[in-house]
Amino acid sequence: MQNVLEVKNLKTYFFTDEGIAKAVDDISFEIGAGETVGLVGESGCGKSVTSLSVMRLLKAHTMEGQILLEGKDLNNMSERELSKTRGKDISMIFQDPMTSLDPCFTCGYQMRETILQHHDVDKQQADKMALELLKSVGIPDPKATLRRYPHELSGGQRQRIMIAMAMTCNTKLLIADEPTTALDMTIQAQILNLMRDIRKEHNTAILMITHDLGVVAELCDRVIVMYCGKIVESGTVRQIFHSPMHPYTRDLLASLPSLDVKQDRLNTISGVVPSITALPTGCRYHPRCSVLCEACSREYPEMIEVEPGHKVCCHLCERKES
Amino acid sequence: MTNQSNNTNEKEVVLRVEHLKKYFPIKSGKILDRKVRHLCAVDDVSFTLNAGDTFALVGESGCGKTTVGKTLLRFYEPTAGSAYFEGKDIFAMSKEEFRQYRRNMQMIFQDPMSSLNPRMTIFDSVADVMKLHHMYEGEALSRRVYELLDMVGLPNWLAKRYPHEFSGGQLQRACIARALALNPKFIVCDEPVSALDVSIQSQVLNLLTDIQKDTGVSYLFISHGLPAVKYISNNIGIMYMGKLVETASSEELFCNPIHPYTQALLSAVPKPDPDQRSEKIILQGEVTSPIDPPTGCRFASRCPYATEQCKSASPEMREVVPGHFVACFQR
Repeated sequence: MQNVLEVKNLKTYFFTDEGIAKAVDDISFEIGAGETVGLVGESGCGKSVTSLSVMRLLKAHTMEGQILLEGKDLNNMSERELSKTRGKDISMIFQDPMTSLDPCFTCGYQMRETILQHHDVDKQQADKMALELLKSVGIPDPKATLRRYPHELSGGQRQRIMIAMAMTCNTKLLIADEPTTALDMTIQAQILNLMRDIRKEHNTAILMITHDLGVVAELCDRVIVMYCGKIVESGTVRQIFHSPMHPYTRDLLASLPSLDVKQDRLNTISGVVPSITALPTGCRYHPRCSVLCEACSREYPEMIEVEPGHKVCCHLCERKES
Repeated sequence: MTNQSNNTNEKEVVLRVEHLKKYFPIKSGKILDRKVRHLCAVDDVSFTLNAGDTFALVGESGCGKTTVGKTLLRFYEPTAGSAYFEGKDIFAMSKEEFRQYRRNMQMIFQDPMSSLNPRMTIFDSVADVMKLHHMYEGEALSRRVYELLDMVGLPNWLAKRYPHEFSGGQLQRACIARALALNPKFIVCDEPVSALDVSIQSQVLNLLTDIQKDTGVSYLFISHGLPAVKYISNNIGIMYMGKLVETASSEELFCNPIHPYTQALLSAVPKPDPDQRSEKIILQGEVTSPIDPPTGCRFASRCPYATEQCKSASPEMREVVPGHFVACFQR
C-alpha cells in the first residue's frame, strides 16, 4: 500500500513560562491510501497538536521533522503552496462545528468560497456543486440549507456541512479532530456512518483523533496510542483491542465501564496525567504504571516491533522479546 | 430480577416525584411582554428514588434531564407537579423553609472548574457551606473539612490551594467533598464525569459508589453516557424531549430495551471491540424543538414504527414487565 502521509520524527515544542512544553515529542507514523487510522489518548497527550502540526496550522516555537504528503514535505512549503494543498489534498474537520463555520455568512456562501478556491468554475457551477455535496452528506432540503446561516442548523447538520466542505476536492487525507465528541449519541452514529460511506466512495484516508475508544474500534483499521506527547503503542485495531501490550493501553481499556456485564467495581489508573512542562524522567507512564521495572524511571524505552505491524514502547515488552 | 424489585420495595422511599412539569415561557412582542409560546423542558415526569439507591436520567442534550435535577432543588420553580422528599412536599414549602431543608439535598455539577470559586481555596469552599448552616465552628470545622477531603481521596496538603492548581479529577473530588459536607440524604449528580478524562472517570465513579456504601446517600445521576450509567445506577429513566419514555431497573433495561428510542440509543453506543461492529439502528432526523411540541408521541417523527395513532395521541406509561414501564403504543 502506498502511503498518503508519512510523519517522521515530528517535534512540536512551545516555550512557556513554566519551561519547554514538549507537546509532540519525536513521533513517527504513516497512513496508507484509503486507510483509517485512529489517534487516541487523553486530553493533553498531544493528539490535537499532532493534527494541527500536520496541517501546519500552528505557530510553534520549534517544529522539526518531516511531514510528507505523498512525498512532498509540508514542513518546507511556503504559505502559498500550503493554501493550495490545504482543502485540496488534505482537509480537516473539527470538534465544534459551530466555531469552525463563520456565523456571518450563509452555508452556501462558505461552501462556494472553498469550491472557487480549488476548482476552475464560475459561481453558478460552484453553487450546483455545493448542492450536490450537501445531497451526498444526507442533508434534508439541501437547497434551503444553502441559504441558511450556521446558527439556524443543529449540531449534526453543521458537522455534515463541515464534512461536505472537506470533501469538496476529493481530498486524499481527511483529518477529523474529535468530530463526534460534541454531538449526541444517535447523531454520532449518523456521522460515523457518513464517514464510513465517504471512505468507501472516495477511498479517502482518514486520521481520526478521539479519546473515545469505542469510536476507534467502530471505525478504524489501525490505532496509534499517545501518552504525554509520545506514541506508546501502534497496531491494527485487533492487535490493540485484543492483545494490547503497553501497560497504558491495557489500563485504559480495562478502565472503561462495560455495557455487557454489570461490574461491581471499575478498574482505575492511579494518579493523573503529568504536566507536559514537568515530565517524569524515563518512561513517561512509569509513575502511574503497575508493572514497572527499575529501568523505567531511568531511560525512555525504544519503540520495538513485537509482531508485524504492532509496535510498542515499553521496557518490559523489550525484555520479553530478547 | 423479581428478587431485586422485592428488595427495592422494602427500601424506604427518599424522593417521590409526581407529574413534574417545567415550562419556560417565551416572551415576544415589542411593547408588552406577552407570553406566547412555551418551551416544554420537562413534561409530566414521575419517578421514585429509594434510600441508598441511584436513579439515572438518561437522554440526549436538550431532553430536560438537567432541568429535572435543578427543579428538584428549586433552582427553578416548577410549573406543576409535586415532589415528596421523605414524605414532605418540597414544592409546597416557603423559600425560607426550603433553604433550611436543602441541607439534605445537594448537587454536583458537570464542570468542576466553574462550580468552585476561583478566589477561594478548596478548604474555604468546603468549609463555607458548613459555616452557612452553622454546623461546625473553629477547630471542629477544620477537622471536619480534612475528614471530608480524606473521604474523597484528596491529601491534606492540597487543602489550602486554589482551584486552578488542581486537575479536573481532583476538582471534581473537591466538589463531591463540598456536596457531602452537610451529610445530605440526596445528591443530584449532573454529568459528574462527562468533562473528565477516561482514566479519571472510573476513579470518580468508584468514589461515588464507595461514598454511597458508606453513607447511604441516594443519587439522581444525570448522564448521557450509558456505560457509566449501567455501572452506577439501580434504576434508569430514559428521557426524550421532556418526557420519560421508559423506566426500568438497570439490568432489565439493558437486557430488554422496549421503547424504539431506547433501542436506538443502546445500539448507538460504540463498543470498544472491533469484532462487535454490530448493525446500528440509525435514526433519521434529529431532535425537534421542544417549543410547543406536537400533541402525539414526541418521538414519532424519528420512529421507524410510527403510525397515525402515534402522531395524534400521546402514549401513557404502561407496565409491560413488572417494574418496567414504557410509553409506546406499538409495544
